[in-house]
Amino acid sequence: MPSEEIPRRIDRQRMNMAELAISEAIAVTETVGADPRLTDAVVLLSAARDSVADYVDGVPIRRGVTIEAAPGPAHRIAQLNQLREALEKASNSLELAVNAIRPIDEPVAGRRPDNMAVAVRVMRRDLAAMTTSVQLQIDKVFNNG
Amino acid sequence: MSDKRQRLTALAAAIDAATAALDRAKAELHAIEDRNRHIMLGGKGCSEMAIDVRGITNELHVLRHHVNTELERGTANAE
Repeated sequence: MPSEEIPRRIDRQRMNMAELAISEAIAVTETVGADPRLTDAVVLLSAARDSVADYVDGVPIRRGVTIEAAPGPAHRIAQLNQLREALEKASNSLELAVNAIRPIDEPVAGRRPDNMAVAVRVMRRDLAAMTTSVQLQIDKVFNNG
Repeated sequence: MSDKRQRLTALAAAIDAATAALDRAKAELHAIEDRNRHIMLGGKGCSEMAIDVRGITNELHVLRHHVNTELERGTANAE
């Protein structure tokens, strides 16, 4: 597997100083506590890091980072769909994580790879249950308005 | 780059991508709850599901820390 397959922007070894600093800010923010405003801060910081990466990688796009919450069934369905897509994306990434763990045959910082794979599979199972719940709610809003 | 290091780097990238997606999911859950407090998702409110998502994110942070430690150890050994 050539290293070129791994995007530069998600490889800490190849991030620039600004991307590393923002990553550190995200990690510190995560330790502050559990609050929607802190989650917003993490999402905004992630968008900032993506924007720096766009500049470094020469990607000519501008990023919108605001989240609009509006009433009404159509907006509710749109928001629920975004939530479902985020959960599915996380689950797909965890499948890639399991695939990366599987061939490793030595402990990773003292942790057995097979135990790590089991833990990730449990996370995927939990995400699948959440995704099903969200889809049921989408169907309910769609049918009842 | 050794095969193990490539696998660890790919694992780190997958964990980061999953974490970013879960952060986005948490933001969506909070946004939904701001306007629709009555919405239940599988018998849970949005804030309860956000706590569950945060639990997974925390587990991923621990996993990422293990991967970082192993990558840094590999770098130190190579030097």
